[in-house]
Amino acid sequence: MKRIIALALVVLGIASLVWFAPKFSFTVGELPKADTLKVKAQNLSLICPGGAYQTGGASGTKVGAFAPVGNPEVNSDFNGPIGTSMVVNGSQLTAIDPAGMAEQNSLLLNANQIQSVAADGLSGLTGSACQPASNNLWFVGGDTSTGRESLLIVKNPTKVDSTVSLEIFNQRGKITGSGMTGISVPAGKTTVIPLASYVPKTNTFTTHLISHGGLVAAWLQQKTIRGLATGGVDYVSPASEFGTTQVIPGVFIRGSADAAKLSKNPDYADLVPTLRVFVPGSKAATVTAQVLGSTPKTYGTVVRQTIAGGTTADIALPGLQDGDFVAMVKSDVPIGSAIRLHRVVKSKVDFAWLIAAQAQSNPVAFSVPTSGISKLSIANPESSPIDLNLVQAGKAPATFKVPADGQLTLTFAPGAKVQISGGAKAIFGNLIVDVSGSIAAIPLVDYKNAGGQVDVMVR
Amino acid sequence: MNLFVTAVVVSHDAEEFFAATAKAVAGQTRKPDRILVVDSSENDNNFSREISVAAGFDYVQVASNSKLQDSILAAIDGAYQPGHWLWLLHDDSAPEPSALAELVAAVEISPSVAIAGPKLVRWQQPRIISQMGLTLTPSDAPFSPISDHFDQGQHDDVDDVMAVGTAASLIRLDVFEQLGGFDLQAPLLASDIDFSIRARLAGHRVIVVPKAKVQHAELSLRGQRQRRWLGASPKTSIRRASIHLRFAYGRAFWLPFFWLFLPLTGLLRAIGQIARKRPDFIWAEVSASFWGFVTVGRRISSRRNISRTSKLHIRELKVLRATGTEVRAHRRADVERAEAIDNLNAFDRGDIDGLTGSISRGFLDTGGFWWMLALAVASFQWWPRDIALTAKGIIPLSATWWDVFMRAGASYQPIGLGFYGPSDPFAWVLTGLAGLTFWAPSLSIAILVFVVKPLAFIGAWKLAAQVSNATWIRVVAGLGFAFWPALALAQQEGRLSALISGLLLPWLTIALLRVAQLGKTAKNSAKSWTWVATAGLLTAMVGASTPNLVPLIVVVIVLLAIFRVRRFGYLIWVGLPIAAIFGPTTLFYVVGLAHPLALLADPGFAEPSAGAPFLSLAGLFVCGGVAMVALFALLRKRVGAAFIGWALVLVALLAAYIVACLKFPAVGVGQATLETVNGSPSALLIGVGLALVILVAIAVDDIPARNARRLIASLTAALVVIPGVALSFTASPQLSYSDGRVVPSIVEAEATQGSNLKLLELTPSVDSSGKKRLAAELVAGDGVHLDDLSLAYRFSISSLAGQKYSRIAQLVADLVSANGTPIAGRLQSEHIGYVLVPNGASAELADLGVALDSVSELETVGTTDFGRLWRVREPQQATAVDPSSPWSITKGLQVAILLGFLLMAIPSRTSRRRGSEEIFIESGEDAQ
Repeated sequence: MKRIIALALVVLGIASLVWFAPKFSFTVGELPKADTLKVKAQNLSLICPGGAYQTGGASGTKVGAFAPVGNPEVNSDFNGPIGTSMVVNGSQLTAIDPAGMAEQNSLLLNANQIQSVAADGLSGLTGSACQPASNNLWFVGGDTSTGRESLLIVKNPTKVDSTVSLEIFNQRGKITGSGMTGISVPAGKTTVIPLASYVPKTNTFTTHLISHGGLVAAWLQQKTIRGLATGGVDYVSPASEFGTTQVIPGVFIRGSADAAKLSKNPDYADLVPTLRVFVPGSKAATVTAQVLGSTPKTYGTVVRQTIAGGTTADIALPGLQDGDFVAMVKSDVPIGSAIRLHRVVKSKVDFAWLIAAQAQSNPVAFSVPTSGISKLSIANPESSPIDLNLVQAGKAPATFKVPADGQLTLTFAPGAKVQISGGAKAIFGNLIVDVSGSIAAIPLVDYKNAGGQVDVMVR
Repeated sequence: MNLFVTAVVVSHDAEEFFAATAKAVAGQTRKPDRILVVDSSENDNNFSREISVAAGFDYVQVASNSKLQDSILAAIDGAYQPGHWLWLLHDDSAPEPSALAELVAAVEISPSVAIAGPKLVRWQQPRIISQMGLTLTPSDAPFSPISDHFDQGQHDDVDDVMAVGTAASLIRLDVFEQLGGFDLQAPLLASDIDFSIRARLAGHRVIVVPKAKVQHAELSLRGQRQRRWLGASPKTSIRRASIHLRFAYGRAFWLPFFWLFLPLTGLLRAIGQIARKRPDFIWAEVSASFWGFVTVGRRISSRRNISRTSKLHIRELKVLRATGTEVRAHRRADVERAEAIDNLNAFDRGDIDGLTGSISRGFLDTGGFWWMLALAVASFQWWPRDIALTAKGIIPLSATWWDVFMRAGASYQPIGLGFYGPSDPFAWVLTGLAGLTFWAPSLSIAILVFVVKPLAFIGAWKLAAQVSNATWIRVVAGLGFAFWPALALAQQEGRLSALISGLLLPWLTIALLRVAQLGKTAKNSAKSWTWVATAGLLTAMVGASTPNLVPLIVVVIVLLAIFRVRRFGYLIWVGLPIAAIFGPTTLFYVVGLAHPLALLADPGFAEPSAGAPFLSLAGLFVCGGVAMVALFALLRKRVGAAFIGWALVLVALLAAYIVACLKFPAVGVGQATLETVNGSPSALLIGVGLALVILVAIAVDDIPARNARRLIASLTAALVVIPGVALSFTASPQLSYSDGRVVPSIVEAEATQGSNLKLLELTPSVDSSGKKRLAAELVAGDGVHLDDLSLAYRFSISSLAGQKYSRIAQLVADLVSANGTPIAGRLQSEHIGYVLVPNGASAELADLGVALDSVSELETVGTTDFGRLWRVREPQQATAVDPSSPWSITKGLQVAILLGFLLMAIPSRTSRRRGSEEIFIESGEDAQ
């Protein structure tokens, strides 16, 4: 009997623990709090590419030498509050804000540059937004096949030496080779890296630049020579954030008839607009690219392709007639994309690399070049129209509708200072500049440096 | 010769003994010529007077604080005529009827005899000789060469001795006068020897008369008189006597050195007493040495007294001295006799069950080693592949054992920006563990984690041996515990403190059972202090490793004290080491922080634990099997033990549940990503496992149905062992091995070369409200090691805000914003040499890296095993050395207590030598 009672008591105890134990939580001691500290943001500093680089140095004959040629046109707009100022140092523009009070964005300072280059073996219009220094840049573009040259121009505007590493992904995957790491970019200097050293005779690739030490600004300068004739030059700007939806506005097709004629010559076979897609992960991407016209008369096209992870692929977009288009690229995994677009005027050929536009959820400002014709292409990938608010210096604010799944083209007077916003919705834009039949694309970029409050827990 | 004998009975508050003594004196065959009672009693009940008057004795009352000399002088009242003898009797020395006759006969035939002592036998056991003469050891300590010997007449040829005790000794009164009586400067226990030696030196003989027997109760030596009688405790008085005799009879040349080093000698002798498992002598040694040191003048004055009457030199009495060999043999015999007596007593109590039952075979005899080897092979995944293990709860220890030791018990923690607070008691455990591989402290942890299963096996096996003689049951218990899911989980997750506690729990239980003299293999009490020390150290280690086990251990000790009240005197000392190492911490948490529950926080690396039901479904299934078998223990004959075991299991489970619900601050050095951490129930659950496997052993032990045993064994193994084994093979350890560095090699190399630049480690984290923040940790160049971690710091950090902390925070904010604010000076003033950002792919880490890349005061070193590293371009070494000493009074005290217990825990030489000589053979595995 004694044993039965003992057993019953123990079983009862176990059951009580299982069923009746109340849930609670009790914190012993005080939790430490972090110090909330106000810190001044880094001064907004934009670096422009400067003059286009000519292989062979100033003489054009020196092996392994690269020298900038010409003076680009830098267009900028500084709208700092009282107490701030802008300092221009070479191709670097800095908004000096001693109090660190000004909000950092393109409204405070924006800048871009264009350059009509007409040097030996180098001809065309280059254009790019000036960019803040970074340590991680992707370039979806470039071609090192015969007659093509890809130069990676890396500028280190900081006071800290930088060491750059490259990763290059072609159609088959990641390129391995010596010399792709430990590339020195001394403080305040520019290093030009010919990518043909790593990917010779390769017409499709994506380049990833990682810097350690000082931050860098970089562009991929792409040049084409067909036989003895120059075939254009432009910068491939750093890609925007990869995503499953990429919007590439500003696909302005002009001279398609001339291009078709020239395309019969094998040297001009690449005049067809081409979409380049990079799949950064290991998983293959099924990519659908819709090229949409801006009017009912401009017919677009749709292409669909599966691309292996870690590779880059070029997808031709044939059959596009003259008109304004926007490319909407969708994928099941994040991708990066860009479009190479040629401008043909009779036998004169230039090209531009249009990178996928950065989504702008806040007002963004830009400066219109004083040369040529500048058109802004605004895309709306949403299924409903967007009201685009536009403010120009000296003009009344205006509102435009950007159609759903479509684009809006606006032409600006040379030198205009423009501010646009899509209200609560994100807009995507590229500024296309045409100078005497040569083309360049300038992406709209917003800028921001970390600042404000930092919570620090010292232990 | 016609002798006149005055018998003087000194009575001092021992009425019962006095009555017997008076009766014995009155009953002498050779009546004393005069019998005088000198009463120095404090109580005034006239008992002695009444008896004296009734017996016709003369009676003199003297002051209660009178010395023996005073009493004698009062008795003889100047009667120093030749032929007069004094028979000095204590009230606790009852002579046999012929005692005086024999004494008188002996002195009558030897005119040179001045003092004749009887054969003193025990009061209650007259067949045991308690004293037959006294002498000095080579170091001048008093020595009784014949004591506690069974009287078979083997010592009846003893005649001349160096000295005799005063009890019942016959003293020639003219010699007494010649020598000036007893030396008033000598302590009481030295005065009789001193008197005899002086008689010897004066040319007289001192003899023992074996035929004269006197029963002596030795009330003074047994501490049954008032303390004032001896002036100190008996132990202290004996030591004082030794010191006095050394001063009185030692060679003059050495005396200054003896005096100068006396306090140190006292300390060393105290340590020696600890090693002899006699902690009760510590105070006697220390206090007597101090007494001798400060009263040296009085000791030296005795030498003048000696030389005044001496005709011989003490050297000439060498033949009467004890030799070193005799002293050692005597001591050994004492210890063995004490052990034998204790064994007899234990046998009388029925404590040694093994004597009456079958004797089981030992651990090695039953293939225990092969089981351990097999378990070690099964633990191949944990084989140390380098000297340091890193796991969820384990980081390497400091590079040297001394560095680990410096943290233990320290009052200043060189962490963060410096912190005054007690170090975790766990640091002592780490110090002990690191000492096992002192050349590479972290290796001990790697080895420990590797041998968890074999050590768990042997621990549970030994504990099961307390309840069962069957080898297969012990093996099942060992395997059941080795594969207990909570233990396996702790091993996988690297919960070092829980593993240490879990592995020590069986041994702690055994030690506590031994202290309480419970279990099948209860030892004799001669080793009690060894077990007390062992239990004390194990309690301290378990408690320091897993403080949430302390309440349970206290409950067990209280239960043992209740069931074994006799052993309370021993059990109480078990708590001393843990009290010593937890004292400062307890004071700090309870008084300083007013957070007593902080005592339950787990030391070491903050590591979250799963709440109830604690284990995976598979783990619970394994536990269920063991518990089912353990329940049957309640239906067996040892239902009481089983019920207590199950009660402990339930209490432990409840404690585990409560502990897991408690949250403690996790923010501290070494842990950047957690804000709070809950208590770990791991050790409690391991304890539950241990209790259950022992209950299993009780359940299946000694089953009468012989034919069913094989079936029961198979069923038990199937339920208790096999599921655990299966579960363990599905587990994969979450650990890595390294060379022990916790910072990039370049930082470590600089620190090794003497750099004292600090490393600023920045880690993005998220607080409980989801707000992002940056954890900034400023550590010494060689980084944060396991022994650097401090619970006290974790609990104090919320109150440590100050100007210096704000300065660092602002510096960090400017660093990470890379806003161009000049920081070179601040980096130098804080002696920051490096900035480290952990490796990772998060956007916060990337942004942090970008920002630091942009800081012109830093230069990138590169990506290391521990993260991205930047070096300060122009760092500044700290010139001022931290003034805080890692030593403190509390640490000294802790070291003394721990070393003392360690010394006591080491088995004594006698115990080690016992072997086949011991009276009782214990259960095989414990025979040493």
